[in-house]
Amino acid sequence: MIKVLLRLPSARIAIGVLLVIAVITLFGPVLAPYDPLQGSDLTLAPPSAQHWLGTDYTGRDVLSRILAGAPLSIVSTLEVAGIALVLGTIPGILSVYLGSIFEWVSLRLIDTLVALPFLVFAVAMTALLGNGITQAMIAVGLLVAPLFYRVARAATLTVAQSQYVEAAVLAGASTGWIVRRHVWAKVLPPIAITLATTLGLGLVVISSLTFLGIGVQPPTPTWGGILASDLDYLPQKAYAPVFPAVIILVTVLAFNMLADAIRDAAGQSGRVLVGARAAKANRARRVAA
Amino acid sequence: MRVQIGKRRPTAVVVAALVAALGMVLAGCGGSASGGAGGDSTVRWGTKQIQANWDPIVTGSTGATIYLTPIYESLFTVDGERHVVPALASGYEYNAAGDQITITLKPGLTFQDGSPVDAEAVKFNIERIKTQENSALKGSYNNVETATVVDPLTVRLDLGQQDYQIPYLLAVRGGMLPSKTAAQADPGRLNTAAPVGAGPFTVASYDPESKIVLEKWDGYWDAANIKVDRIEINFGVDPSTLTAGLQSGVYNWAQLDPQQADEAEKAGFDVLASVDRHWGIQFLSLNTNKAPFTDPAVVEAVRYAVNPEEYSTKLGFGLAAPAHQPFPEGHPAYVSALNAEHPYDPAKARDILAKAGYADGSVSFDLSGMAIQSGQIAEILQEQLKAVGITANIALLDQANWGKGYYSKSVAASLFGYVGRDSHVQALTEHYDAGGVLNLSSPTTSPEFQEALKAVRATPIDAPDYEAKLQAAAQAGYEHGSTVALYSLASVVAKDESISDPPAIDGYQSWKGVQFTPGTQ
Repeated sequence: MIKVLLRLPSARIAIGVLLVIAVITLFGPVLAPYDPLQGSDLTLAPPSAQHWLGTDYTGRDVLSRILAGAPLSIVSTLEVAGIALVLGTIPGILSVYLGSIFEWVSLRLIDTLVALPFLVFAVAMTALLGNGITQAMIAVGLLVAPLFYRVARAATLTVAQSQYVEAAVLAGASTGWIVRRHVWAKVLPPIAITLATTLGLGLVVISSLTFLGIGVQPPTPTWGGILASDLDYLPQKAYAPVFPAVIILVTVLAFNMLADAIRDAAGQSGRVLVGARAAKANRARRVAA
Repeated sequence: MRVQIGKRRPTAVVVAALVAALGMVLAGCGGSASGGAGGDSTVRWGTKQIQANWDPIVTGSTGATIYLTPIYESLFTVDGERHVVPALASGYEYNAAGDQITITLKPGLTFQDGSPVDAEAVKFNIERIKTQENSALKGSYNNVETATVVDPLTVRLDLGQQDYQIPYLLAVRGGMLPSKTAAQADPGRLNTAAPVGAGPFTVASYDPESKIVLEKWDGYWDAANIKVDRIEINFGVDPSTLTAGLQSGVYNWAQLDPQQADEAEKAGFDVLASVDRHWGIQFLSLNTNKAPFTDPAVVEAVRYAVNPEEYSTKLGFGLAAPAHQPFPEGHPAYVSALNAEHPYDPAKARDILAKAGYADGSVSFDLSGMAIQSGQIAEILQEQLKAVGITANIALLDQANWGKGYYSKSVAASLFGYVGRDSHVQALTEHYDAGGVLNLSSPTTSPEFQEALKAVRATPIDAPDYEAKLQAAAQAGYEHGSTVALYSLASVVAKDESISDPPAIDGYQSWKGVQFTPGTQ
């Protein structure tokens, strides 16, 4: 599937962007040309050779703050997706196999979680558990989990009811063996799509929370926080919010493009796509010949 | 071909009609906005602040007085020269010893609920100030011992010590009188849902934390001087949208942050921003009853570590000045000697800490503050303290949760600001006296301040040595207190040209004589 994926230009672009973001996340604080917490007398300066993206209200370098803010923003996003993945997928697959009581209870629980608005819930959780980003992320991850649960369950159901699985059951295969052998391969592509979408969603949520000042205290740099503080100084630097907004947008776009590409490349549609491309190439070769 | 043209023509007509209709709708919107301003004299006020407490006795913030004075009238008020003038009361008289003041009320006045403005109501509210658990004025009324009803229009206050400041205490902020009937029936409702006073405007509707609509009340004693029919205050507005709101006509009156003043002025709005109207001082409150400030050396080091200049240049946008005391230059309680007392000197701060036995970086504390107000100040302060080896962990909160820690004196340090007080002595007691709302170290006070306080209270306001004694108390208070001033700032109001300038009175937003000039918008 990965080979098919890499043939898609949108996937190559998405992966390229995400690699850049990964480098920023891993090495951002090291790459930052200035101390992101150190102010100077040069406040609200426009972009220049010294400060590529200008400076903020206490004279800190905006580029350094965006770079230094990457780990917190991206790691929190991964945290949300990771929590949702584990809490959603495993019960989703098991709900098909563990009998009707587990199925009924887990479905009701998931329905309840679906009903809660996650931004509001995250705000409430930070009020309850203390104003920390991890608390907020656990809350959001918990509320995104139903997405994975539904997807995993739906994919598992189609596999579980297929004839070859029934044949395996009749042949005496254990549930564990069936899940490992047949279910995983079928469930994995939709989960990968959901994961990529969730990463985009998670970044939007974390940016929204830090924009509202929830989970972080100044002067900690975060992308949402930089955006929020830039809005206070619109009369002086109307373009300043563009920088943090663009990096948030581009990252979310890359995750969504990746999700699209995985969908196109996976399963039946992927085979059709590859087939169509091969056919086109063959046609072109024939015409040339 | 012809058929296609025939088909297209109606589309073009429809598009043209839609454009015209849209134009009319937009013109209609514009028309109603400006018509509203010129026609029914409505002040449409936008502010980022949120006013939650509407009982003047409970409201901790004096800056919030501007939201309360339309509803509540005080016993006295102040004029442009800051002289006490009658309001609900017609006059006052001191006894010879100066420890008893008798106040006479104007006859025939009522509150907005129809109940009488009488001596009983005054006594009731003073007792409420002194006993109600959530009273924010307890400290200010420390020296008022008892209130006695002499007759229905006369009330006598017995004072703990000679004190000629009482008329100022009873003017504007400290003397706003809520209806006794309403406060007695349900003080909680008076505070959070239905404020009732005897001021020029009554509450027509109130959406908590969002909007209050006030309508002119004809029963007000000076109603002839109120030309504004309606005031709509919109709370919690994102400050970055306020100037745009003024331009679109959503607001015609807005409280701005200093960085927006220039933009509003360029857009053609009147900007009122000078210290003779509304000023504020941002300061750091230290709690000398909590570590690490139990050690006077740490307090001293913080005073030298702070650089007021940096706040005023970075956050003031030309409307601020560095402050070394909680009064702006030109204020009667301003002491120029204090400016030189703790100049910015990080080396000295380090030295003081080292001599007191602190290793570099061993002093740390949690710095509280309101997220909406103190974020940028906290960041600068953190850097300044870091430079002398003190770690300040910023812990900003929303207004309500911050208030719990600050007013109960349970935090070690907090950023806050204030806008002065009608009584100069009250401004001092708030910062330095036991029970003062701004004295984070309360009940701690200093004998030096108490002595100077006694002297200034005993001096009539028109006495020639009044200012000297006031300044002596201000100096003693600051030197022995736990307030560290950072910078002073003129509060900014931008208004539509069609609204006339309100009277320039320090710290008091009076609506008397304010009127709309038709046709200027």
